[in-house]
Amino acid sequence: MNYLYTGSLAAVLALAGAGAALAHADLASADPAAGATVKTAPTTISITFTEEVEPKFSSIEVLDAQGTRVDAGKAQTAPDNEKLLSVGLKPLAPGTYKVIWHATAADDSHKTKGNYEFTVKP
Amino acid sequence: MEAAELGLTAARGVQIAASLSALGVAAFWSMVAPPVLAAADGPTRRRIEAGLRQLFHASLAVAVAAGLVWLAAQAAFMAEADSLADAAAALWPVLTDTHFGHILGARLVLLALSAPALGNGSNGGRRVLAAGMAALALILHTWSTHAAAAAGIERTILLGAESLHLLAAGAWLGSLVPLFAAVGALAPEQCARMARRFSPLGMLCVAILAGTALVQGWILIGGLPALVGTDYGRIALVKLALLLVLLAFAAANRFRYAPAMHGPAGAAAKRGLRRSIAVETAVGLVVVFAASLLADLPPAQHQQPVWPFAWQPNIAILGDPDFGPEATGGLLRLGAAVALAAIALFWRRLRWVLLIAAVAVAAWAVPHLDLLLARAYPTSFYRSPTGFAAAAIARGAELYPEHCAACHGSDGRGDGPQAKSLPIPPADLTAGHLWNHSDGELFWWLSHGIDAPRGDLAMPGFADSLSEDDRWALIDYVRARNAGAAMAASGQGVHLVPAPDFSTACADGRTLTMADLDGRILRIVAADQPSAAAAPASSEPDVITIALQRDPPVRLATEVCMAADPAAWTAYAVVSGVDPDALAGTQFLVDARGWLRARWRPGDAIDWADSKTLLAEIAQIRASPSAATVNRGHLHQP
Repeated sequence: MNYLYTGSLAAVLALAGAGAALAHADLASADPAAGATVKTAPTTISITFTEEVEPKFSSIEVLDAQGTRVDAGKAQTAPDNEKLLSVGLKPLAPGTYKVIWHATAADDSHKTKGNYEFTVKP
Repeated sequence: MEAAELGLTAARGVQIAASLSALGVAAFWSMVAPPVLAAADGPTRRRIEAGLRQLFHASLAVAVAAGLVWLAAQAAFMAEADSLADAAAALWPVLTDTHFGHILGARLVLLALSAPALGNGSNGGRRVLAAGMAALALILHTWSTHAAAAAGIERTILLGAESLHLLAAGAWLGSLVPLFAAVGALAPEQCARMARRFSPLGMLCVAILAGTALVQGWILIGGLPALVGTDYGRIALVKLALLLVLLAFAAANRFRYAPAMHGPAGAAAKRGLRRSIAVETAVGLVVVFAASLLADLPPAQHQQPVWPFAWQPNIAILGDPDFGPEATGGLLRLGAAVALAAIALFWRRLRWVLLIAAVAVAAWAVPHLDLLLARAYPTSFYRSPTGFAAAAIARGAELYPEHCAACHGSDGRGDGPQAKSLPIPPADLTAGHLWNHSDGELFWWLSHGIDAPRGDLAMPGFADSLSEDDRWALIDYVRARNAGAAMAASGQGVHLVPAPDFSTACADGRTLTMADLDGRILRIVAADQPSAAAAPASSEPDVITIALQRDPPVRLATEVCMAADPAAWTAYAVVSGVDPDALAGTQFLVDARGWLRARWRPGDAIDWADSKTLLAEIAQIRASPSAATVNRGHLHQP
């Protein structure tokens, strides 16, 4: 029996604490994931945020290596999950793509943005 | 700050100030003024009532106008409009389709309707109704602030505290202008009566303001480093300082000007009171604008606090077996010196004797007080943004050989090939001492290096050669490996570590992270065979089995959640001190608060493959919960 028991208060204090989700919608996870290399070209980009977002004032743009938009336009939240924003894609050729997202938090209207890349490599 | 954002902050500030004023006028007219007005002569009373009515209407007009400007600025901001036309096009969608628009719209309608609700103000019930509507408009506002964006019980507490905070601010600060107007029209004796009636309301409001500010500060700021080390915290401090200024004015009104009204200098006292109220109102406005600025900033809780001092309090030393008694002694002597000095203030006859004694005791204390302070760096209170992610640990494992092993050694014991050439030996990263240092301290040393006592470099900084993310990844890796090395050496865990975080795909199609799994006990199995992750015989609803997979994954016989990212495999190998190639079959148990509690390897004496034994193990973890939940809360990038 191997017990990983309490060793150091400092470590516990450093790593524990109240972790309320507050105020700004940041990227929680994405599909395809940030930095990922995928074998099959995705047909949608889905981003889960740390908070609910306003669909009308949140967007996902996807650019190919030449800087051409390859997304299908307006991003939508899922009907049962306002944290999940997704956008359709045009058929993707192998290559590296840049995802640029803008989000407006539903609760306090704060704006956040970010970007990441993923690669399609069959 | 761009023009639209500045306009947004200003419009919000004006709108809230005018809303507070509307509530204050109605509250003043309902609770403070009536008996004084009843005692005044007819023309004076009518003049004051007309003034109050005008003030109420003016407050509403400003509140509605500023609300519309706020709506426009918010629309421009939300739509990231480059032109007026873009902003105008976004107005209607913001009003009808966003949470913010619904709340602001409802508030403006409520405020507009409170004018007919009040009527001419002669009816007490209608005055209370108008005050209630203005109050409701303020409470509604909290639903579009940071408070509404919180979760769970914190959300309820924050919404309640902020509502009370706004109502108290309205009843106090909003009453200052009507008080000013009434004092102008009344005779000095009547002014004194009005000021005395106002006082208890003011004191109650101040108590509520301070109490609710404490609650909000506790949740949104959360500690001294965030209070002094972030913009949010420092603006909160400015608000606190201004509150003290407001209190000084309030005290002067009550205890200096009000009593003097009855004397021969009544007229002069009345002028003084009005001047004081005017300045108090101006300071109050500054406080409201400071609050509006806070609404734009991410709460301090989610920022990296930059510690502004070279030292930090080191309370932990009091419990240290070697230095604790000395530090405690120093602290007691300091307390005695302060006590002696305090007594000297009041005991005139022995003042000099006591003061000399105080200085002597203080001098006796000083040599031991440095123990109570520890060296601090700007990043001392930074928290790792990684959430102890498996991906960060795996990334650190990639970086370590190239950047760290030359000095710290490939095993981390401080015995790398270059170690001998250094002025002081490199740290043994496997020592238990690592856990006495915060992530923020490690981050400072890793970023900026360590100077040797003679001034030469003991360790170089990596701020220029490694990205911030890579430096945090190395810290996670070093911590994970330290825990793993201790475990490999003793066969037992020595340090409590969080379970490395990864995302896992479950049979119902959901993708979950550790934060989503909060409250569940996790059984994590390094699975390389179809039979590896068989569930224990009895079904335990709060236990979730997760299979770690290597590339390529194997198809498992049982349906369990899968962690396909090979980084998870690597991280669990590191944190348990096992070579990744030998991890297959190893099982881990994670408690409901996210801490890695137990590990089992095939061949261990107590056999988890026996489901009874495994269930007993799980029961034991359930019976001894960890003290705190692992903080995987997110931080905002600057």
